[in-house]
This record gives sequence, structure tokens and C-alpha cells, in this order.
Amino acid sequence: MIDEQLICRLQAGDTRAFDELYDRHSPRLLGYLRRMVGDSERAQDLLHDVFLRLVERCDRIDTQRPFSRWLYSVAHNLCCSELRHSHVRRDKSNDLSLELRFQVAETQPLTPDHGLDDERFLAALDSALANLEPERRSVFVLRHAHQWPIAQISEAVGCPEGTVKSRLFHATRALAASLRPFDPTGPTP
Amino acid sequence: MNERHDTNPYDTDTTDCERLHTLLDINGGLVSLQTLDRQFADLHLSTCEACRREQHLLTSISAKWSLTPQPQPHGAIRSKLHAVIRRQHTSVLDGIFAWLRLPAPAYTIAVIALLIAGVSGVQTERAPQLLMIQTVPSLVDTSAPLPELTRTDSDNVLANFRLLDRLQRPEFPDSAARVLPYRRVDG
Repeated sequence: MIDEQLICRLQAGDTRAFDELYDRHSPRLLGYLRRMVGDSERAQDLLHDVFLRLVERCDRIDTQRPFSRWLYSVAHNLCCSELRHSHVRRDKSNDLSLELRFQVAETQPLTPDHGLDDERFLAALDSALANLEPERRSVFVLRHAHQWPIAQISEAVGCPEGTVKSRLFHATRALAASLRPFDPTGPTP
Repeated sequence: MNERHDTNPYDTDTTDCERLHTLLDINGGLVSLQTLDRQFADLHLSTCEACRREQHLLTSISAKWSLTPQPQPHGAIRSKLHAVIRRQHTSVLDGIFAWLRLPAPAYTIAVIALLIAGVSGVQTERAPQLLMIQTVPSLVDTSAPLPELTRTDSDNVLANFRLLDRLQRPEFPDSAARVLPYRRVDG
């Protein structure tokens, strides 16, 4: 059964339809949320909020359009809102730990073949992502973690395709600059 | 100032760089490019170090992310949401059937009262509806020119005339004093 049929059943209060939708989408969505907010527990909270919106507003979902775009559109908006608020009330200790992780990643000696040590690379990538604006971060994650095409991202984040391309370009440039120590193709700084 | 110059950490030709990024983003990689686009991409990558690094980085990131195991949601989230669905559905049913749970005496009293009213033929004399005149206030002012009337307005005016006639009948002896001065304006 496709997502849109399950939405119709959920509108009638069918919890099995909800379970089906939840099982299909929650792990990948949680991955997106985790990369967006950079914290597993906050990502779990946001996952709850996204599916709560689904439960509360399922009668307003347009079943003629792909459900995943609606879902990620809600997730994108919640993340951007959360990140804007948390930027204001950012906890100092979290900030320090993030900085420390990045410093460790930067200062540890690179392997002789400049190979990408997975753990350090992913930690540095998380830190670099955290420094991107939420809108750029979102399109980057959808494009490179979820392999979504530009048009689909454009619908989910609610902006023109040109804006998505521009955000991707600048996100890539900024990440490349942040992750230069891991670049095996160029000289080390 | 153009946004891209603000954030561009490299001193390169962003127009060609952006074109390459767009081509690769749309086509999903170098191998999918058409001949001309592929020639442009190869040429640009051979001259632009920044783009070469970025393409390598993007390949690495996609590869690492694809190997990262997907996180699993907490079990408590599902059960919380189940509770919300049940509560929502129950509250809808509650709204529909709430009237069934009224206490029996209230039902009985209401039904008996309705029956008594129906059987005894209780009728109340309706008060003259002077309020109708107030629905077209501009017409009460006899010096004001008549506006263009819609069908509803015309109906109201006719109804007011009928009401005035009725008020001046003998069964309402004191009604004449309560009638507002009114003059019919023809045309």
C-alpha cells in the first residue's frame, strides 16, 4: 500500500496505517534530523514533533502529492525554527564540546596516505555542518545523504530550484574550506 | 554585494564553478553527463583546484554517509503517538454521541415540556417587527435620495410598507405613535 493510501486510513484513526508510515520513514527522517541538529536526543524530540504534526493534521494533507515531501517539509521547518532558537540560547558547554571535537579532528596527525579516518572525518563533518546556515545545511543533507534530486528538494524546502542550487554550491564551498585538513588531493595547510 | 563573493573561500571563477556544480547535481555525477557537458566538466576540473577538491569531498561524504548505520527511533515515541491518535479519535466520537449521555431526568423533562406545549397549542403574539425598518436606515431619512436598490433591499422596503399598514390597524391602537415618520419616495 502506498503512503497516500495509508494517509487516508490514518485519517479514519487507523493506528496500523500510522505504524506502517512510521516504520517506513522514521529511520531515514531521524538521520536527517540528527544531521540537521547535530544531537541525537534533540533529533528524537523533533522526530516526535514531526509525527505529532502528521497525526494532528493528517486530514489536511494533500494525498495527490508525495507524502515524503510533506514530511520533510515539516521536518525542515521544525529544524530551521529549532536551530534559530537554539542559536540564541545555545548552551555554552555544548558549544565547547563541539569546538573541542573539531579541534581534536584538526590537530591529530593525518595518516601517512592522507586517508580519511572515518570517525575523525565524520566528527569534523558534523562540526562543519553545524557552522552552516540551517537552510544550506538542509539542502546539502537532502542532496548528499538522501540523494534527492533538486526539484524534490525545492518542493520540500519551499524555495525555487535556483535557490537550492545556489545553497548547495555555497554549502559545498564552505564545507570544503572547513574540511581542508582531510583533503587527500591537495597540500596540507 | 553579491552573496557568493561574501562566502566564497576560494578566489576562482564562480560562474563556471557554479555551472559545474549544477551539472553534477542535476545529472548525479560525471559519468552521466552528455558529451559537451562532459568536455566542459573535464576542462574545468583540470584547471580549477577548488572544484576538484569539492568533487572529491562530495564523493567522500556521500560514501561515508551511505555506510553510516541509520539511527533507530526511541520506542516511547511510537506509543506516545498511538495514545494521541486514540485520544483524537475518541474525542471525535465523544462529540457526536455526547448528547446520549445526558442524565435521564433532563431528557424526560424536555420531552414532557415539548409535548405539553404542542398539545395545549401555546401561541405567542409576535411583536411588531419595527426592527425591519432599521435594516434600511437610509430609506428612513425622507430627505435623502433613494440609493439603487438590490432585490433584497426592494423586498425589505415592501415588507416595511406592509408592516406600517399593519401597525395602523385597530388591533394595535397605540401603534401609530410608535411608527416612525415615513414617506414613500417614488422614482
